[in-house]
Amino acid sequence: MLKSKTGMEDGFLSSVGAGDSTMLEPPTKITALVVDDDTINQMIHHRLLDNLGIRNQVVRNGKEAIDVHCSGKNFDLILMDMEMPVMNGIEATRQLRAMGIRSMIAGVSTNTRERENFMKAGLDDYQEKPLTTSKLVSILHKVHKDG
Amino acid sequence: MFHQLFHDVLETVRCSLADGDADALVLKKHIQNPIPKSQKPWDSALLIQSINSHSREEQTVSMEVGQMQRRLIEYTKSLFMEGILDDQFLQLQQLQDESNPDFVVEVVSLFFQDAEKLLNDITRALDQQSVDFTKVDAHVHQLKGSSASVGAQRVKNGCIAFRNFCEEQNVDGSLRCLQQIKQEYYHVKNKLEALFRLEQQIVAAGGSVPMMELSF
Repeated sequence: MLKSKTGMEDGFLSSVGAGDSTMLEPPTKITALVVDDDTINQMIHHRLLDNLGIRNQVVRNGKEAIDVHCSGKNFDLILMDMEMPVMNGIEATRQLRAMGIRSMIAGVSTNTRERENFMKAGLDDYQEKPLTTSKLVSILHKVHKDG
Repeated sequence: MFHQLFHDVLETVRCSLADGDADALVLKKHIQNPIPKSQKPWDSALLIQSINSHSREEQTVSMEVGQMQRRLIEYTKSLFMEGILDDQFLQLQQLQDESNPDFVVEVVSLFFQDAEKLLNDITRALDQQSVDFTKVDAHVHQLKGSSASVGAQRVKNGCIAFRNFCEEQNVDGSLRCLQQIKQEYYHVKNKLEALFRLEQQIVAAGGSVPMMELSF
């Protein structure tokens, strides 16, 4: 597979028909919600999911996560940070479960002290930050099993 | 006749593109140095001459690109050996591709902005008459998180040590730690900026940035 990095070479490749659909992965049907207040993590988690063909949305805190569900949206997977302003991950998880949301919720955090409380709030999985492709894949295996 | 010739040229380049970047470089150079307008655009002899005249130049540039690519790999490896960067940086590189060609630079730039703001906040907080260690700890926690996210290992480790001093409410220890973290931060910043400059040079010369392997 051709690996070019500049836009110009890309343009040339498509014009000679060398770049075809083998370059793009067909999107999977899984959808995800990233809940994190940190812009670096937002960017990385968004890209990690994109890279696996998972359509995803990003919100900045627990309250926004609740609001997006109240607007009628639903997701197969929620990546929930713990420490966030306005509403933290533990409270958001609790509320989502109380609302009847059965999506896979994976807590993503560095706060090991609160891990047990976080799990008790209704998590299906917990991963230490920083998130990597392999950690995400192990979460996704669980989504497939239950879904 | 010109159309046939041009078609043949494209065919040749298309086939040799599969072999690597060297031939893409030929065509790119040709596009960058087009045939002068005063000449008839369908003068096939001129077209052949123009492409052939690049062959010697192309060999030299190919060698330069190869050298730069090797230098980049060695430089990146050294950053890992010295513990300045860790695996997380490789994760970021693997998320970069044709549709997200600047991903690493974008994330790292965010990290630089974030880190400098946090270091200022921590400095100010430690400068107060009565230090609010909860605040200091919150800033250090954030810096630890963002440095871990980009693979800035030494900065992250400095933050871990710093949090112990915060717990002990130790102002002197905290100040010493802050100095240390600042040094490590500027060190990794310089190194990463040098790395990105090397990448830019390779791309400017028509080469592609080599992917690091997770083998060490």
